[in-house]
Amino acid sequence: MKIVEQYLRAIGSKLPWKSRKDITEELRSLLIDQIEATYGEEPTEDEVKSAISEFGAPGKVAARYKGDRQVIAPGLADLYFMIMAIMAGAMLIAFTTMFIVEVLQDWPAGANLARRILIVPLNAFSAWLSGVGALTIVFIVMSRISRRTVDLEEDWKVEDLKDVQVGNKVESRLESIFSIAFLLVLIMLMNLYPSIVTLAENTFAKSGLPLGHRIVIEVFRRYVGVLTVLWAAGIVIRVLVLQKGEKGMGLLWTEIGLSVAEASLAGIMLADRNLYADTGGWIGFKVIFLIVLVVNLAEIGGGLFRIVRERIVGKETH
Amino acid sequence: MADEKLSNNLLQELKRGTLTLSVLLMSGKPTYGYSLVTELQDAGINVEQNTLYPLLRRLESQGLLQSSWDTGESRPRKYYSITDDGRITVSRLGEEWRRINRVMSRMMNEEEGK
Repeated sequence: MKIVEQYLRAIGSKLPWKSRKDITEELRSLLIDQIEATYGEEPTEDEVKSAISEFGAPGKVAARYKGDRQVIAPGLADLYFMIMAIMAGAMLIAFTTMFIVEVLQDWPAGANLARRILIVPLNAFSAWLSGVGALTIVFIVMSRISRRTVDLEEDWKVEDLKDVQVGNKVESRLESIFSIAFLLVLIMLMNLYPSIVTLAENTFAKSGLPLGHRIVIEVFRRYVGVLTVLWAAGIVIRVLVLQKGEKGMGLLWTEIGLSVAEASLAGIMLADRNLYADTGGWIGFKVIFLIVLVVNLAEIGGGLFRIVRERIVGKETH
Repeated sequence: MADEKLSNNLLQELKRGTLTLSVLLMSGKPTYGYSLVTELQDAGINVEQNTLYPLLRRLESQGLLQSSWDTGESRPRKYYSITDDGRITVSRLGEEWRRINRVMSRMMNEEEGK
């Protein structure tokens, strides 16, 4: 019966590849059972068509076998949309900043200025779309992993609550959102417009304060790749904090590791003589790198202190 | 007046919960999809084929049913039968079903007596 085979092929084309053959064969047997039971062993073509029609539309039949397939796990959906919104804001800030930098450098006027203004939201939207694509891939992977490891309906136990932080241990949501947006802006600016560093130096020099050195942009560009990786890692940590609402031991250690990497890089950048021209003192980006080094060292200390404190508190409560 | 569509949805939800137990109860001996549909209908449970057939596969993937192809007949048929885990599950579900039945009957009797 050709029409039965056509119907089964239509269903099969909508089924997952790995179970397609088995389901189609089972459906063939079931459909013929039904046709024979209703119309006898030699049904007319109209009767077969009627039986197929009663069996249902191919898409609906296939959908019942596939179940509810969700691209992003329901538990991650809110976070996904929040990061999408943060990215939109960050892209707008980054491209507006770049626009201001360009305007301060070139002082465009008339049609040129109007064109540049128009390009700001277009570029921001285009960059946001690319970011959303990458974000979606990350969340699809996270959804697959979380589906395999955690079943909120079935595997949940009251004992799971023992690691949930309450009171002043709960991480600030606003701080995480701000950090993600700030790091995104940094990544965008430094990758698309590394000479913003020179512009900052020129602005500083105009203030009349003595500038001890200048950054060699060609050398600085080599560091941008490493900085991007570290900032991206920082974003991942902040996203995980947003998702969990707390920093567990794993996240604390990861954050300390990242601070060690950032402090090391700041140290290397401070020591790299090729990175600076007109070396005549510390005033300039060296001070910023030094602040980054000190802040990261403080964060390493703070993180280690927090781990030790939580271990002690943990022992006391057990 | 109660929304008919809403009532139908609620009825479907109510039936969905009982269908798994019905299927497991009917799978004591090996049975294939279409015969199970007719057996359930004979027992008074109207089930759509497109609901039952995927359910059989799901119960198989959960380890409550097992299946095998019988190629000895005029055409191959996939037979399903209950597993040991399925029997344990039937016992648990059955016990809970009886308890719910008692409670619901009492509640409905009280409501009707008002």
